[in-house]
Amino acid sequence: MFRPDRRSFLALSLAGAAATGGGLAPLWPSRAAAGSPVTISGMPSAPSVTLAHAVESGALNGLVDAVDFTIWKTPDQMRAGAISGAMDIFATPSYACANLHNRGVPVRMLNIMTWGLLYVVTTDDTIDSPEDLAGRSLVLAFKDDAPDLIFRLVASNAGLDPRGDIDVTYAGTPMEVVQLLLAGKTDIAVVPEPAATAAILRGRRAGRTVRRAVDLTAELGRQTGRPARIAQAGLGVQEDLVQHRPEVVQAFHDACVRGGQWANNNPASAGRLGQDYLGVKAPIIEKSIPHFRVDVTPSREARADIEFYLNSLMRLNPDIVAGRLPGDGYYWPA
Amino acid sequence: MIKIKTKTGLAALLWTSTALVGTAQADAGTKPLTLRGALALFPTFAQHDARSPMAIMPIYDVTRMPGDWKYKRDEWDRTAVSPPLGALDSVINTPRPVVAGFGFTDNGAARQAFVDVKTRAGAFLMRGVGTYKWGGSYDDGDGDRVRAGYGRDTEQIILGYLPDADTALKAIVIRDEIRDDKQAATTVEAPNSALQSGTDSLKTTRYIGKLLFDKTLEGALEAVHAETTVVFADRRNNNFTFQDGRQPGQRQEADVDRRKVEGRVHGDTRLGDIPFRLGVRGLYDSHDADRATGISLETFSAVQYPDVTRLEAEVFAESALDLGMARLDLGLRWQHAITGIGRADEPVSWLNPTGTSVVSTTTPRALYRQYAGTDDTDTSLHAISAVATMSRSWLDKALDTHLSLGRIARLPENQELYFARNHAQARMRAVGNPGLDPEVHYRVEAGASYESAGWLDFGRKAPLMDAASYRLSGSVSHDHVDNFISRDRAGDQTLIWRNMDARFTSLTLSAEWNPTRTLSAGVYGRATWAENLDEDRGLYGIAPAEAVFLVDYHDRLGVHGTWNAGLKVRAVAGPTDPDDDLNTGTALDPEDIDAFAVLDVYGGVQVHDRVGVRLGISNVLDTEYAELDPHYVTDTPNPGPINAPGRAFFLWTVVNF
Repeated sequence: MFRPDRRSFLALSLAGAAATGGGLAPLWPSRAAAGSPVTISGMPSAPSVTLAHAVESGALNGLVDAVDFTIWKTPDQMRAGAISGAMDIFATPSYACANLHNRGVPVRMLNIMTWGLLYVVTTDDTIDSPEDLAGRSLVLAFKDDAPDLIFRLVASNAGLDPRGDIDVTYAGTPMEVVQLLLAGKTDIAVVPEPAATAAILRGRRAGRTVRRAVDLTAELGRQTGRPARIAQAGLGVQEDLVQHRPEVVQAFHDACVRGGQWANNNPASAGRLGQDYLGVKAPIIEKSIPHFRVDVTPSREARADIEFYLNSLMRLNPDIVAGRLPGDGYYWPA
Repeated sequence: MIKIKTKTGLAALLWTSTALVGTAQADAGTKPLTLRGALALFPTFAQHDARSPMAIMPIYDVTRMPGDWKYKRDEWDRTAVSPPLGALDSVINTPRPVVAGFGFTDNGAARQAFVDVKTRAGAFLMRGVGTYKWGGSYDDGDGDRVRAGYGRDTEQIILGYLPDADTALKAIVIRDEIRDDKQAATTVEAPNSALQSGTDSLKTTRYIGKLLFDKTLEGALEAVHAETTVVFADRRNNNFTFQDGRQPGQRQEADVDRRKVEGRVHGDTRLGDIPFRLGVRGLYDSHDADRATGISLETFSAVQYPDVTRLEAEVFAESALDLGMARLDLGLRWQHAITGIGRADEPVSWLNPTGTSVVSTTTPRALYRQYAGTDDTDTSLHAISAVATMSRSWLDKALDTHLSLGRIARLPENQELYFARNHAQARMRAVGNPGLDPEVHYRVEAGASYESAGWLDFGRKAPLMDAASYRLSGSVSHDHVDNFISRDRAGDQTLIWRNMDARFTSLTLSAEWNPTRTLSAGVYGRATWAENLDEDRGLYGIAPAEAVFLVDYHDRLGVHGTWNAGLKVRAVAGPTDPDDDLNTGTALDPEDIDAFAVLDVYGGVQVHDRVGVRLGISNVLDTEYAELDPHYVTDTPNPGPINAPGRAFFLWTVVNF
């Protein structure tokens, strides 16, 4: 049974308001007037390096008066920003954006930026596959959000009951998970990049050998016979901006494409920029970049992958994407 | 912030000021106070204007020209401002296991190669660095050849064992060898003149071994640190291998051997909330050097270091108090040295030019008696130092200020106590003084730095905001020095060491600005005034005031790589009160040093953070100039101006894999 938590309650409440009010957009004055400022909000993980690159390279110079770039701290913060319209362009898991869209929040998925960045890291030499997790305890962050959902998907596909066969404890953030691992409070953790790389590198300094044991993206591909790609997260965008300032959306997407290429080509430079924006040490981001599968792809081009991913999640719980695959309006018509 | 590094003396004071500002900012907050460490708290005073081989560290630095440039101060002085690494930063400062580079200059044909390898296996880490340099004579700004040349190999191996987060054991071994180091013409030419006996350095070999242990503990003793250092230094200089026309009696060959073993241990505890450190240090130093002359080089003309044995003991304590908005750091140090020599009565003889007969004979003890007025060559020296530094952040940590008061003592070095170089002519002699007292600095120093909200570093605006990005800093210090240990001239013009009173005042200012995310500029100035109070005249070896202006444009966002380009203007004032007249002072400052300004341009590009190239032109306008302070000439009591290189094109290539 779907138990609404704070995030879900917030989404449902505002989606309900949208439904009864005929859509949220009219409740707010248009933020997409020509030249008006644009607010962009990244996620607190490595892919935001590409957003930082896009912002610093002045992608929207001449198109908008100003760019306000922030990093959201929790998925709930992102949902609130997307629903209120305070975030014009925002990093989001693809399923979260689909959930908002299906519930009437006027947002679209602009692109997919990262194609899988979740890993099982461990200090235990015996862990090499999801099956090895049976009967074990582990820690992960963001309950009922991407790390939790993808882990449950992979565990279920491996024949495990993620709630019964594995003792899962939740922490507030991926970096808290890393701290618990390094402190010896757990020997298995599920974390996204750059936390996985941070666990390995900080483990060395602490005299603990932390190993990247399972690449959940590759594992899901192996289980489903598909490539090691999950259309996991990218940018969401307000419908208002898409309709009234398509050139801004196009320019920012193009800048993100360049940013992704730049990060892949120049991991050390990306590490330095990431340190400034994410507060994570540059060498950690530099070493994590090969592991977060950056490939900025317009959502329309990624539709098949997105729908496969959303269908997979709906098998866990249809409410994750509000009960149905999103329609054409979810995809950015690049 | 452009990192300003330091080496010795007053520059160390200025660096300490910078470090204090930085540390104050880092420590501000609610965390338990941590100690700064004695190196940050106590300024490190070294022997004034000591001449020594080129520094070993940093082993390579591509913000400088390839090779060693002894007569261009901003190339060897670690306190000098350098342009940023720019595009090469991501190629050199990388977690990748291997970084290698090669560079050359057209003027002087200097070449330098380096390789830096690091690896890790479990709790073990290893890093090996090697650099190899060659250079020759170069043209000054007027196209005149300046005699120079050397070969140099330096290697460093670091081994580490870090079994857990609380334990670290590291071993460091360094080998540095300088070969065929030719000195400038002003010190070695005119071979038939007895005054021109300056030597070239045939070979300098230095081995340094260091073992360090750190352990964080739970309980009353929070941490311990132990380290031991062993230094072996051998040097051979002469005035005939690379110099023609020496007659046997004019040939001089010096052999220097030095062995040092030093140990240091300290422990940290906490008295309530107050951190407290107590430590001890010990030193054994054996220093021997003589100078041979004659047909078969079997006659000693001097015993420069007459088998010096030096034992030092030190106890130090350090603490810090949290005063709410401010912190107060306190340090106390007691040093004791016992020194003696084993060759005080060894005869040293000066031969006639043909080397067939003895002109004069003496001993080190006789020289001390004559010039220092003492027969007693054993010393027992004590020195007490204390320092208190108050630091505080203001304006939500944007402004950091500090004020430091101290009484800082320095024990005399072996050279100052015992150097005994005989010569037929008095003005070429140099004689130490076993009767020297420790010098004592009574010092006040104040500094401040302000960083705007948009400041992150030189070339980096703070993220997530578009505020103004600039940093201003400044510091001023004043030292009254009792018993300052200075060179001087005896009545017959022999170079001697003696205590005198002196006064130093230093000022540093800097302003750095990032007007955009791609353009940065900085201006840096420093000036030092120093006075021999006994004689009411300026001190030798004080670098004149200078200002440096940097502009750097950088593109860090290119998809296939990044680049930067910039310029540096260095303007140096003429010395206002040089000690360049033998009739009124020591004449240790060269004459005819004028103000100058030099323009350098540079640019760098890197591809995929893997391969980088930095190129530039030093002294674009081919300015002819000489520095006041050519520190690295083989010790000569009669220095002359040595022109720095004229226009020089340089190129660095760097790769990692």
